[in-house]
Amino acid sequence: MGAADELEPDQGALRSPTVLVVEDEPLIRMLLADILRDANLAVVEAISGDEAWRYVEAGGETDLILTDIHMRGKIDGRRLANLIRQHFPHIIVIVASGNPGPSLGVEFKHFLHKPYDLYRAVGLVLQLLERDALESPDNPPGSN
Amino acid sequence: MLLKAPTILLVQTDILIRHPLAEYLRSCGYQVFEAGNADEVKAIALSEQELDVILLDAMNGNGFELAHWLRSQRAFSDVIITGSVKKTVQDAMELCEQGPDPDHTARHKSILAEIQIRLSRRGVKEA
Repeated sequence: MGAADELEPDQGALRSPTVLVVEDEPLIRMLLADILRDANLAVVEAISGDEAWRYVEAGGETDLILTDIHMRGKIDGRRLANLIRQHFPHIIVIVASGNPGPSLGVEFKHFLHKPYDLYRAVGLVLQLLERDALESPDNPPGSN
Repeated sequence: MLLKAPTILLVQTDILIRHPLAEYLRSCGYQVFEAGNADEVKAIALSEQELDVILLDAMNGNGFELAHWLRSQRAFSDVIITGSVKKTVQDAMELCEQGPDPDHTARHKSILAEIQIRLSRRGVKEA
């Protein structure tokens, strides 16, 4: 049996939506990830834009990315959001920044101003995932 | 009575290894905190967060210095230093067997394969 065969039982199973949290402050990331897990979401934690991109590019499950903007590394949150928009347009992106400048809210559809209320952030995540599920091809508008 | 899940700080520099291992350990009943570099480890260790076990990637030798620092800060935590992916998975499996929900040993066989597949899919193009 090959390695791929051993993974077979998990494939195709019903899964919770996966949220990729990209935050270089570990205590904030841990807290946010915990609250998202408590909301029955699968959570992947990335410490930087570089890591997040490596995960997504390697085919890691991702339905929504919640990313900080200002992070060290080659890929900050803005670049990550633009890469995702370009290469994986089906993934929803929420960007967060404490110093957004005048254009960020215009540049990105979903934006959080830091410091944000963690429960409000989770509420936005759930709202966007629910809307996305309702608009998916399996659930055309008006089918419910 | 609700018993608090034992906690593990998983220190691993590669997200493609760290994430599946963290999920595996969670499935064994642990509360798992993730750190990707030494700065994160120090931030978490200096917080009030309770840590029972620290599973620490050797990080090309830097892990040993970090382990020494951690022992000076956290004399009550067990620090396990890991090296290769296989060794890391083996250490995680042993923790799982000692964990609150060892019934998840069924995943033992697939966890290494899952990580190897993720690593083999690693993109070659740089962003």
